[in-house]
Amino acid sequence: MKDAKVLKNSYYDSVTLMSTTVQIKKDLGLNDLVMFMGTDMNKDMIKSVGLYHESLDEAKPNDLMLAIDMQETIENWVDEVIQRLNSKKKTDTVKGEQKLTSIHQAKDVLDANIAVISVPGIYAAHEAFKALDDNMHVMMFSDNVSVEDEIKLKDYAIQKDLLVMGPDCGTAIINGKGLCFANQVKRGSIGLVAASGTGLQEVTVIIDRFGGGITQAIGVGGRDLSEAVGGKMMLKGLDALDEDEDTKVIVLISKPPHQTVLDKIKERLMHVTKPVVLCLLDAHLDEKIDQVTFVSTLTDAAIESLKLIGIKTPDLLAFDDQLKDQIKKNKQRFMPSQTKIKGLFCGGTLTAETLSILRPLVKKVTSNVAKKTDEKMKDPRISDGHNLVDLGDDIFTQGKPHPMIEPTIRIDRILQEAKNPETAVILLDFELGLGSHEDPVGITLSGIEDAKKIAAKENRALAFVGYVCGTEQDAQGLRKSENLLKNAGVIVAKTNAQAAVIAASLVSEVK
Amino acid sequence: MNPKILGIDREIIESLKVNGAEVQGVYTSTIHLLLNDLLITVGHKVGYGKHHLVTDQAIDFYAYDLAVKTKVTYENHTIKIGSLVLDVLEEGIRSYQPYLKTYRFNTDTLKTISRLKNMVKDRHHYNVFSFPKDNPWLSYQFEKIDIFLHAPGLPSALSIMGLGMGLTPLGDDILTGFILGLNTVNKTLPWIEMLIKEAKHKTSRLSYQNLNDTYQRFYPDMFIQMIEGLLIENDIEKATAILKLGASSGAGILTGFIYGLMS
Amino acid sequence: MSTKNLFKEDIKIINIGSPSFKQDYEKQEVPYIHLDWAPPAQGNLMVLHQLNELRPYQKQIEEANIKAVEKIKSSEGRLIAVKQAFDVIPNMSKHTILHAGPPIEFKKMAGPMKGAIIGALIYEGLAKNEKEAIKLAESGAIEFDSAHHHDAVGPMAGIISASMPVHVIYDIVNRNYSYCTINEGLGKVLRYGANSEEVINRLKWIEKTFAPVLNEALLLSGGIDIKSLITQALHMGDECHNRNKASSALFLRDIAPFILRTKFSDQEKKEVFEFIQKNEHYFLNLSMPYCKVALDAAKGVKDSTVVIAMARNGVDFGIRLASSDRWYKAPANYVKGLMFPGFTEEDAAPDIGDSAITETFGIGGFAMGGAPAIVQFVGGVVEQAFDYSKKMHDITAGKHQVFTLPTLDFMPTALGIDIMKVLETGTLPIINTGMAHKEAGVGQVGAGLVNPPLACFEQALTDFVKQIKEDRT
Repeated sequence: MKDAKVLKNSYYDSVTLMSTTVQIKKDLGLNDLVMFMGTDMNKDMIKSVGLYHESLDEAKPNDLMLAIDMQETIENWVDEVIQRLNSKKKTDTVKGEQKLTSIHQAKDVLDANIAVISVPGIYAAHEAFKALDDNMHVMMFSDNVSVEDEIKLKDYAIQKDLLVMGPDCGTAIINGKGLCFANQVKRGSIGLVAASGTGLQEVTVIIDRFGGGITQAIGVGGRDLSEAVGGKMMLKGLDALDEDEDTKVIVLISKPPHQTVLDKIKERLMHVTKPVVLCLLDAHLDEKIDQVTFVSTLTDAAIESLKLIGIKTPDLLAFDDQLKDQIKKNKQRFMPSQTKIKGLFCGGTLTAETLSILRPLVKKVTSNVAKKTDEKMKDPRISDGHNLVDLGDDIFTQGKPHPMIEPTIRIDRILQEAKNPETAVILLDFELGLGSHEDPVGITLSGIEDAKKIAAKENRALAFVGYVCGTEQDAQGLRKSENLLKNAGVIVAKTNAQAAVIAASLVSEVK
Repeated sequence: MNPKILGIDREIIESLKVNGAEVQGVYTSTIHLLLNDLLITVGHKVGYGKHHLVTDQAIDFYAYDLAVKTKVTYENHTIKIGSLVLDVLEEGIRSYQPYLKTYRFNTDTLKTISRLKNMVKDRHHYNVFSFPKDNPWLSYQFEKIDIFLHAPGLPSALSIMGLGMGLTPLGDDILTGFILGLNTVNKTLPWIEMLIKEAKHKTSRLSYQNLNDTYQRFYPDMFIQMIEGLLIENDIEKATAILKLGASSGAGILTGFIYGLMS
Repeated sequence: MSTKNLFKEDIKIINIGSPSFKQDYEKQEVPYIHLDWAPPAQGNLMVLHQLNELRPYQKQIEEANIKAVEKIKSSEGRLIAVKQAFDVIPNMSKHTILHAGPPIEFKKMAGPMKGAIIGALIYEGLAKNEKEAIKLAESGAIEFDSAHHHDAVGPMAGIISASMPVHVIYDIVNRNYSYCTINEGLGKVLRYGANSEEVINRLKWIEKTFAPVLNEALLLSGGIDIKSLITQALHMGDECHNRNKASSALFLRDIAPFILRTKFSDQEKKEVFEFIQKNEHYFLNLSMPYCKVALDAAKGVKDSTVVIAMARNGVDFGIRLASSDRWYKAPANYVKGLMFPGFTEEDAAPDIGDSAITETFGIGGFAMGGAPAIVQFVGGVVEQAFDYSKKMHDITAGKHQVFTLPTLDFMPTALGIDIMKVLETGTLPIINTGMAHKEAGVGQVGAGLVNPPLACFEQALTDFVKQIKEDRT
């Protein structure tokens, strides 16, 4: 199909025109494309090759004539051509721009204060040392860094009064800016230090949801509170927030630490000057320490910290009438075989929290994140009884993207559980914010639909419980995501802890 | 530190002072300014010439967000093009004069010209001596150019004026080179003046300006070096710089030049 | 900057790794730079591990390197005399033959080097012809050694025998000496392995006529300041390894009045003049020993990772560090560039000669940005020449002060190749050099660029790590 267009007063040098023509012809699969100035002789030439069009009559010598012969009609071919002509301009940048290949070179150009490192683990420590050498704080998203290196890095950092957030740290919010996987949380006066990514996300979004705000959310990496590393960064973060004038309340979050580390933390907490909320999930703290509130769920950590800054929250674990009704209706639809909860999570700490909450509420829950041997799933890939599966675990993510980035990974498992006659409740978490998929709920809906259909074929009705870990400021939108779930018949919880309690309620009084 | 202008004609400065100018086009490594009716080319590798501004370093003009019609002013030894400021070096200000030297041939010259012809043939894929015959566009252009080169006259010259791709179509480059060749051996043809007049509305502004400048004997330094290298030292190396111009401009100019010399 | 300050500032990020985080910085309007990252040490984990092992010694190594660079920069070499090798070179006997590059057995030597040795033996009168020379060389009666071990350097084959006159360079600051033969010129010459009668005669003329005249001229002059000539030449488009036109001209200009004033005959002075005048690489045999005398000032600086010698014997490429006497060797690379008409890449010998001492010192290939003319010769574009000179700063411990490149805004050249930086960045020093024909006696067949083999630096690092740990136990 032939067409032509005159671009008035358009000037492109022959080098650009030639190279662009070749590229466009290839990209758009054209039979031919020519771009000539609107001189009489060029018009003759175009005529001679049979590409002339009367719209070219008006072209003047300073205009550019485009004549095209397309295999299939491309409506916006002119825009395509112009865009490529102009983008060609931008990529042909001039020599003299140096490629920045080292941290030191980059520091000379931009006086950066944080280095965010996500290179493969074997190289991550090397880069982190260089960043510390240049007086930058480090956010280490990379994992598979050796314990020895982690210790050396953190000792070096502490010596220089710098932070090393990681390795294996997925979340931090510094001065209101989220790093890696983080939510857009309002600023306020609560400061947090966490050895867990989704744990930090959960507490911060609940704080935001109920009118509070944060100063800093410092991640320290999953292994900081191990015996070898000894909680170095957790303690440093604690000190920093204790000193920070804007922070009025401090929240510390972690999965249960090693006893020696717990002792160190307790020791330090005896001298803290501000109220601290300590959340160690399953761990227990026997003694009472002045200024320290001990909680065992992430929800409680948020509630208590809000209380300490004077914000009262509704009882987040309670069920209102509407919810009670929803639960009742769902229960009524279960077949006798349906007695189990299948929790399919993207966030590891949310999985751990759910395990912690369900333990006293239902008989025998297993999970791939469980520390106790009798709670460990035999094979995380095989559904068996009440299961809480962290799909972000290494066994699932080898060579595949993390479910927070690519939620469709989870759909297969949802369908698998739908086929299992014992499945009553499917429990799902959705993380919003930076780093996450642009619409984690939306993209999972089809999976939920299909799962329901599969169960319906065998006269089973599934109950879906969902929790959206996000804020209204997140690009994906908390309310929007929650509404999508509600419209799909999913019971939406206000916090991860509440979701667990809802799930337990759905399967209660069932043998 | 501002980029510096290493070469500028005094008349341009005077004209800028009085009238100012505006940006007319932004390209890969050059920009064009419209100064009254004149097109001034600004860039690092443009080569010194009456209507060229040579800068001391390559400038990424796109980084300065220079749109067409952006104002250009001269003030206090600097030229401001939108947000781009260029310092004019005192020693870079020249008064370009027409190149009036003419030359006579001898046997050595003929040999040199023959070598030049071979160089153009070998080193440029897009030349009248050998081009891919199955390309209808190139065939059309080169057939007409061939006719002109073997039977130069007003009709055949007009048939290639404005013919070709780019800001200076190949046909015009051939004509520019041809006129350059004629000038070099002090030959005049009666229809050249008419040709230049026709060029004013038969081809792009830049092309017309090149033809006119060449006719008036205002050559960029590069041409002068090529001519002197060729005709005084019998050396064709300076011509290689010209070969690199544009996609085919250089080859076109050299081809026209060879024929102009030999006419 | 402390943690407290971090909370008060705007955050600015350097992103190393996944580009997917870039959009998140942009969304939040956080200024950032995304590094064009590649695994350090080109992904070689063992090298990376060794580099990390040196972390605790970082401070000492840095201080040692600064010291080494300062010593090299402080050198003030003067050409004070021309004397026969036997008379001035330490540990030189009538049966010693010195050669370029790290030590190597005669049997294993490359064609051009063997050819040059044959020529030298004939010149010395120790053999009458090629056959005898080879027999003698193989017999063990001749002591072969690296010129470097005797404070000397030589281009290409770099052969020095007892009777050959050598330039004597004296460093008035560090008070050490270095030596180098007289450059014979281009074409069929000893350093390319030619050993015909013409070559021998020329060597004899150098010994009997040239050397005495030049020596007396030097006496009268009080010594020629080589550092100053190099400084000027770098501002005139020379890089003093592959392009020596300006420096050779400057040398002739300086020495000419003194040649005239010597008591020799007009004919002899004329011959000496023309010899220097016709050889546009004359100065190479002055820049090389100058670099040698300066780099040797850094010998023995403990804990330094700076390279003070890079040399090739036509088979191996060897480097030496300031902190150790050892040679770290690996098979030399082939030079890549432009061939002279009539020759192809197959004709070239591997990289050969002590002339890489110029790059070790921070001129030669390191100063390419100031010698754009060389670019046509080695087959590149001027922009690349600038890039090389700039890039070398990534792998050195310091830079020069007086040796600057006008074309790069008088940027000083990089000095003090640091093996740690070479290995970390994967960037090798660039050497700009000539190519010899692999057969003895044919001559130069091209010119171009070459790198030392990475293996030399890897060996040096392994050894250095071992040494520094041992020293502390």
